[in-house]
Amino acid sequence: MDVELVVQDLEKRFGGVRAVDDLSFAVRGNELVGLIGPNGSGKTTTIDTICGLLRPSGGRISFQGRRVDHLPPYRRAEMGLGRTFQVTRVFRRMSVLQNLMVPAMATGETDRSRTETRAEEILEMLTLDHLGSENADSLSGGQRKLLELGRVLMLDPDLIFLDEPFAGVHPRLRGQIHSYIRRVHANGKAFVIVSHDMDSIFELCQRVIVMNEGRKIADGDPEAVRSEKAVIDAYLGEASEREQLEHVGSGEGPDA
Amino acid sequence: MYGADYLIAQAANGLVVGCLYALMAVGLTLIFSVLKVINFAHGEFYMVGGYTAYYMVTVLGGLHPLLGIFFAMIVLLGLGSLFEVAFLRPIHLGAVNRPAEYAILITFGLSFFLQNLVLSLAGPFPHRSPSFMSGGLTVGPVTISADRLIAAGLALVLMIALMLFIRATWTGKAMRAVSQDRDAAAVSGINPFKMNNIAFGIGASLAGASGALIAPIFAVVPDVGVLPSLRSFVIVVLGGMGSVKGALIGGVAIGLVESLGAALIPDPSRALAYRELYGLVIFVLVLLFRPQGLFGEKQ
Amino acid sequence: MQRNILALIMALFVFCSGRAASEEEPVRIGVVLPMSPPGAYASGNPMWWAVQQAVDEVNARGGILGREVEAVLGDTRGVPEEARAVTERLITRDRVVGVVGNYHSSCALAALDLFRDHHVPYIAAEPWADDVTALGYEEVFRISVTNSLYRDITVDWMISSGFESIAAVQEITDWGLGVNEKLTQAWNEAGIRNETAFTDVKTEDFTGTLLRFTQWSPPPDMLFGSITGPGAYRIIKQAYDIGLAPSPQTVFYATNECLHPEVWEVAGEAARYITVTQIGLPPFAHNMVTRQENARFEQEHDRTMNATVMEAYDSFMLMCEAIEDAGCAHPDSIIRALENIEWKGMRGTYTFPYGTDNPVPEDQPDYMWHQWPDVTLYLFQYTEVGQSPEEGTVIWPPEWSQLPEGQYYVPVPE
Ligand SMILES: Nc1ncnc2c1ncn2[C@@H]1O[C@H](COP(=O)(O)OP(=O)(O)OP(=O)(O)O)[C@@H](O)[C@H]1O
Ligand SMILES: [Mg+2]
Repeated sequence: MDVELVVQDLEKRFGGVRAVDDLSFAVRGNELVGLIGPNGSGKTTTIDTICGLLRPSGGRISFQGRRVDHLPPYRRAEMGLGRTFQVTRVFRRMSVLQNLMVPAMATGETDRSRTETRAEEILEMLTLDHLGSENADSLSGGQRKLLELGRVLMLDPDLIFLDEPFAGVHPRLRGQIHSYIRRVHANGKAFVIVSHDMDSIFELCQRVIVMNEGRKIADGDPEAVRSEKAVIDAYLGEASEREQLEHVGSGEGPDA
Repeated sequence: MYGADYLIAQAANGLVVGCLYALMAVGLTLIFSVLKVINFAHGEFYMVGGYTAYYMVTVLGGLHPLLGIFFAMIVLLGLGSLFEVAFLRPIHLGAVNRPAEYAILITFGLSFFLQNLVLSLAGPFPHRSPSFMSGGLTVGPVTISADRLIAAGLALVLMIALMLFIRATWTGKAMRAVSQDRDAAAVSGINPFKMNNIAFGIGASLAGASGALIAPIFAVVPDVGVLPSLRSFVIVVLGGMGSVKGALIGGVAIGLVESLGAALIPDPSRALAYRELYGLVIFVLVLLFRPQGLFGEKQ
Repeated sequence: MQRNILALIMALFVFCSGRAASEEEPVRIGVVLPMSPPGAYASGNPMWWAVQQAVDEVNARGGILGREVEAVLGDTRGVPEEARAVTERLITRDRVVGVVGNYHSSCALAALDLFRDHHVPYIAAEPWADDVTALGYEEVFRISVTNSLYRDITVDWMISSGFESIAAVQEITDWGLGVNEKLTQAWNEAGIRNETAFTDVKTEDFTGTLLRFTQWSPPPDMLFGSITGPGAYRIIKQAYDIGLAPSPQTVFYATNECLHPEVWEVAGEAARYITVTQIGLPPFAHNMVTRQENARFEQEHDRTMNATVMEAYDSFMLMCEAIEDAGCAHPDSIIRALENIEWKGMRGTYTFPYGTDNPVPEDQPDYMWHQWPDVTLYLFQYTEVGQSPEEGTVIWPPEWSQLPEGQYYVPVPE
């Protein structure tokens, strides 16, 4: 199925703070989009609002041709919107395998053994297979990131938001995640990846959206975006990221 | 000073009563774990359960006392679910300004309302359901009435059934997911409102079952739930807020502590006076040394 | 007597002449009772029904002072602070001319100074604490027994019965602690070995407590289950289930909660042979008023009036009578009228000999102030399952006892 997410004039205020301000963009087909911006620029808030955990202060969100801004998060999940969290949120007192079983409720897959087989496959791919019966509580930060990634894949959504999927993940694994994202992408799924790991963004994405202070300041081909003045200005305050912007592909990101 | 027979008799009584304590606490902890609401009306669900069983068995249907328990559970399941939809859902919809205070007030209000409603409907005098079975069982030094044994046995069965439900069914899994992380469960496609409703209904139903189980043993009055509800809070804190296993073990432990405390402390006037207080002492000790309880999670 | 009547006439003249009562307004009398939890609502409710019966009767025969009488209910919930608040509300907002009632001593004591400070007459229906009258307030009267009187009469029975050891389970309430203090003192003085286990009044399971007493060898001669509320019935059943009491070796002495028919529903077979106190006259000493009112009550509520319920009826009627005697609703006149009253109610003829003009003599205890001196109580045993208190066997005092001379209780058959 072709994906279509349209965000129009989206606004989210926290008291006086405009965390998301007049944001419009669309994701169509099985795009692989990077969403970047300095700390506090509103990336996570954007995801929270699109997937329904936060109520927008203004604007509209439609998914697959339907307005979803008044639907609860689980309805949006059922429609095919998946996400991971920047600060991992696994079900800590369940085993790793059980964690992956949770989204099966929503997909309507009631066959336990088929679900388990799929979950085991995903665990193997994420190199977590040896931890299947461990409590999620006992995982390291990086392993939890992977587990969350596995969980959103179990939901089998059409559009997946990944919020900092590489933070805390061992560099060796990062390549593996890249190839898994590509594989899923090849199956027709779309991604919006939020990351401070510019290597990964520029390696994976065909398109990059840049946010600053809640607003979209650039949107387009990665190479073109990187040289836009507004983007460089926005990152000026954050020297390290600016450096990254200039040295894409030639070094390790801060999350290494 | 006292013989082993005496201690065994005390322990057996504590064990049996502890199972009943546990059943009620298990309902309370289930509600807390999923809704993050402390249900101050839990004692009144217990009371209503007792009355439902009583009326079903004696007045309305002339049912077998064991069926009375079943009806009590159904009625409380309905009452609990309705109350959840009408009064607790606004909390989780974010429609309430001060959710913590609201939850306390609304469940406390329900407790007050139910006590007075039942007082005016059922009258001020106590009622006792007919026995499940007359007679008792004597093993060595221990004599326990059949009613108590049956009640404790059914309480155990219900608690094991609940644990199986939580572990082995999709709904149980979803409920655990919601209890551990509401938002993560929601974006994984689980309807947290439905889980709230189911959990509150089941929790209320278990309280109703405990009320129905004690109706032939202790009799029911409009305020019969007050002390059991306080005790359930102690058990839930002891077992770990939200831990079903903890509530089960905590309930039995409090039953044992109460009766062995009463048995062993040398000065009887003091020993027995604070029987209920032993629970509170444990409560304070837990808060000081293991705030997460026996099976709870560290915050 | 002569002097009293003179004083009464004087008082009527002095206080009533200046005040023309408004004809339309009903005469309002406050009634304070525990009607809902956590109070003893199982006693409070039937007490209130009895008051309503009294109101109906008074109004049917034309009210008092030619005006309708109205009972204004204040629910104390058995909580002293609430009793105080509700009493104050009755006095200041509802402007009642007098107050009757109370079940819990703690509630009466908490509101006692309000009667003094607002100068409103009060008749205590059921509170037993000596202090209610011992404090000597001009406004306060009592028609129930006092803790000390209760002790004197019941301990006499225990001594006569030859009890050598007594086990008691005592609720921790103002009432329970008050009774216990007096009883243990008397037991010790009489050389009766005794042990009290204190317990929360709402305890469901007394088994652990009772098991302890099963360890006595020989077993106690008497078990005192001093619990009010539904626990009163449970403790009987639980003591019986473990074979402690009532048994051939041990007499079970229960609270007068067990006057309610629910004792049979909850305790069943176990309650056969328990001993209960009734604060009033045994059935054969009942007068016409007792029979008449009781019959009416039974018709309406499907249960007989026990002594506590009669106290509610009598205290309300007594207040009405006093107002009628006074000829007006002025507090001084009502108090004067009460001090001079001689009125026959359900539980006997009420008088209050010790008051303003006749202080409590040296050789009488302080609580005799404004205390009905003829208040009495008797002990009876249920001998068959399902009996009403009237059908039980009277065992004490000896002048009323239905037992052969020298026997003081009906033993449980082996
Ligand atoms: N719940 C909230 N209440 C108040 N302000 C908030 C809340 N959540 C976010 N904000 C504010 O909104 C702005 C955007 O935050 P957001 O977390 O969306 O940024 P981000 O781009 O994800 O940042 P980072 O790169 O650090 O993850 C920040 O100023 C933040 O302080
Ligand atoms: Mg963020």
